[in-house]
Amino acid sequence: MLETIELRKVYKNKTAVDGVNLYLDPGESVGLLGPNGAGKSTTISMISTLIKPTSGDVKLNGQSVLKHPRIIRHELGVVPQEIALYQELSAVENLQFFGRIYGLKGKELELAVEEVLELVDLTDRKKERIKTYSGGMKRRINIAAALMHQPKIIIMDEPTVGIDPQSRNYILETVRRLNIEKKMTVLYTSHYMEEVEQLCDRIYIMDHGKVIASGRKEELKSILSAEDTIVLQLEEPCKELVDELKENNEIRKVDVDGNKTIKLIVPKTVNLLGHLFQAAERHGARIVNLNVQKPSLEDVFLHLTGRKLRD
Amino acid sequence: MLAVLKVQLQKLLKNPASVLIMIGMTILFTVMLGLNSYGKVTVHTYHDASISREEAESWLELLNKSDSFIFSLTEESAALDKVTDGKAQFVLKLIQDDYRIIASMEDMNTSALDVYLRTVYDEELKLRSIEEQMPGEDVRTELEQKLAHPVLSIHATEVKAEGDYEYDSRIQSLFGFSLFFSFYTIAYAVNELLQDKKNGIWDRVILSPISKLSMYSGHLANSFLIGYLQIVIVFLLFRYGFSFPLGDSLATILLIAAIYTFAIVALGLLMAGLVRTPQQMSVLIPIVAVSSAMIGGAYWPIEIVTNPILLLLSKIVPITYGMEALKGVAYYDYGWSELLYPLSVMCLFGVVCMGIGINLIERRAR
Ligand SMILES: Nc1ncnc2c1ncn2[C@@H]1O[C@H](COP(=O)(O)OP(=O)(O)OP(=O)(O)O)[C@@H](O)[C@H]1O
Ligand SMILES: [Mg+2]
Repeated sequence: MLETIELRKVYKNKTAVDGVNLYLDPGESVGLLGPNGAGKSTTISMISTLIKPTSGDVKLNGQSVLKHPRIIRHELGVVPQEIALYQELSAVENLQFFGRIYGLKGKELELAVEEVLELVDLTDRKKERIKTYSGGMKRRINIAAALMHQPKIIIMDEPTVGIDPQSRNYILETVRRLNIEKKMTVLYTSHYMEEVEQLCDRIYIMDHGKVIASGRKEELKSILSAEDTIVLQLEEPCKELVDELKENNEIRKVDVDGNKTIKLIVPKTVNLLGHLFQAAERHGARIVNLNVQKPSLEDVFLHLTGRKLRD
Repeated sequence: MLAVLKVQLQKLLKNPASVLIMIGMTILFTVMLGLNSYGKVTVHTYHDASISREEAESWLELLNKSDSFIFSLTEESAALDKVTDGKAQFVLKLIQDDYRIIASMEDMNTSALDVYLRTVYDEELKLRSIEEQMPGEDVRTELEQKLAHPVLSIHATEVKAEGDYEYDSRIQSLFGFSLFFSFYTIAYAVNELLQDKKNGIWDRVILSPISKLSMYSGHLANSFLIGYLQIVIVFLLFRYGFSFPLGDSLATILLIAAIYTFAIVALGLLMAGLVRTPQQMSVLIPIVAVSSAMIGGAYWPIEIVTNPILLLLSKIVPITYGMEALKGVAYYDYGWSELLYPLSVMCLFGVVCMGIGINLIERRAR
């Protein structure tokens, strides 16, 4: 339905987006994940025709959006990263404005306003000025404004930044309903792994302007599934034990965290546990806790980039 | 375009304070500086021993027919004290068939007073000499009757000499302050466009099917409307509320105001193109407003400016042409041929600024 082909954006001294290929199928909910400055917003701006790519193309149902920007106008709703609303006006007045610019008027406009207000559950406060709203409520109206013209595709750029967990859950729930009940195609941008994990079928992971991994949640995790992460907690720090583990060729990585916690990445095929206990006993180290972890997307990111997602 | 215009007006209606303040300031300054010095200048007058008190009083009665000055008779010492204390700019001393103005500083007002006094004295002294030559006849009444019903009326067209110009503090203040304060209203309204850009609303509108042209025109129409409305309200108030002599054609005055407003909207757009943020624009607005008002003769008549550099600079600010056209209609009943030049300059100025402004803003976008 919507795809980008080798999308690139080069600013004077910086490549913000570097050859991104992604696609959205109808009805899908797709996550775009990446740390600050990864190029997520830039990618979205290019898809929505706000900025011109340095090279590459965006296609909607096979037609170039760059050449015919008008074709995407009615199809697409974009929720910007910032709160793009008139703070001095009420929710209704804002929504009416965003409806009017899509050509809605009269009864039709009125109905659309009521409908999106209900969707974000702010009907009872619709007459109040936006600036009197809480951060979470502003975010909800920010989303509602992008839904006025009932787009088929909705792109959300970090719609949950800087709000409390309750509003965040509410927004996630709303997005899920849009996807499932209203059959909208969703591209959801975030740097919260949990959100994307919870919400999206398919995920793109971006870093430094490039897509470094993509696929269904399970596929991505299976990047790590050949390995186990074993977390070992000792009562006392024990340097000898760490040294011995580091010398062991079967262990791919030894990570000492605060010198009492040791994190080991081991191929699944290796049975290390017996070894581990013996070694600990030899060096007189007492193991107080041992945990074999299932990989999370966070680990996938760590694995791919060597960095945590949020530093 | 209508959606954009409507939402901007909605915002204005929620926060009308700034526009109301600008209207209020215009009225306040016009009343203070225009009305106050007009009709309310009190001239403290005394006389020396060469004339009697009765004689002085009869002169005063004559002089007080003026609607520019009020003459009041006081003691010499009291009058002179007023000047030395700086409470009065000038006082008047009456002597035998003549007068002296004692002024701390010479300016428009002193010369206006002098011109007025000279006319009254010349006329009265002439009448008196006729009376002396034709004793027994009531020359005075006869003359007055003749003047009221002339046998032959001659319509004289005044020929304006170089350096000669009309001045009425009411007109100067009303036009000057209207154009000056409307600059703020208009430019701040244009600044809403930058505000929209900054908070992301502009991008949202770009994503919608409406064209860029309608976004610009919505914003510009908004700036034009409120700026023009402000000027019109003030003009009508002083024309009908205070009977200011705005000339014969109010319609022409309003047309000039519209063209001036257009030029300032365009100037505002150019300024918006030169700055990066709405905050910078807010800093720039007063700077441009005050300097162009000074240069363009909004605070004082441009005619008193002699510095060639300032005069040259005055040619590039639209307020100069606005003042010229408005004063032309009010003082000299300018016709189309005289208005053509200032009006076309303002139109041209507007078109050029708007073109450059939009270009700069669009270039800045990406
Ligand atoms: N107009 C611009 N000029 C120059 N560099 C820019 C511009 N816009 C963005 N960049 C750079 O491009 C890179 C990607 O920015 P982008 O906003 O797309 O990141 P992001 O993934 O959305 O980050 P965040 O999570 O913080 O929103 C950043 O390094 C940013 O500094
Ligand atoms: Mg971003």
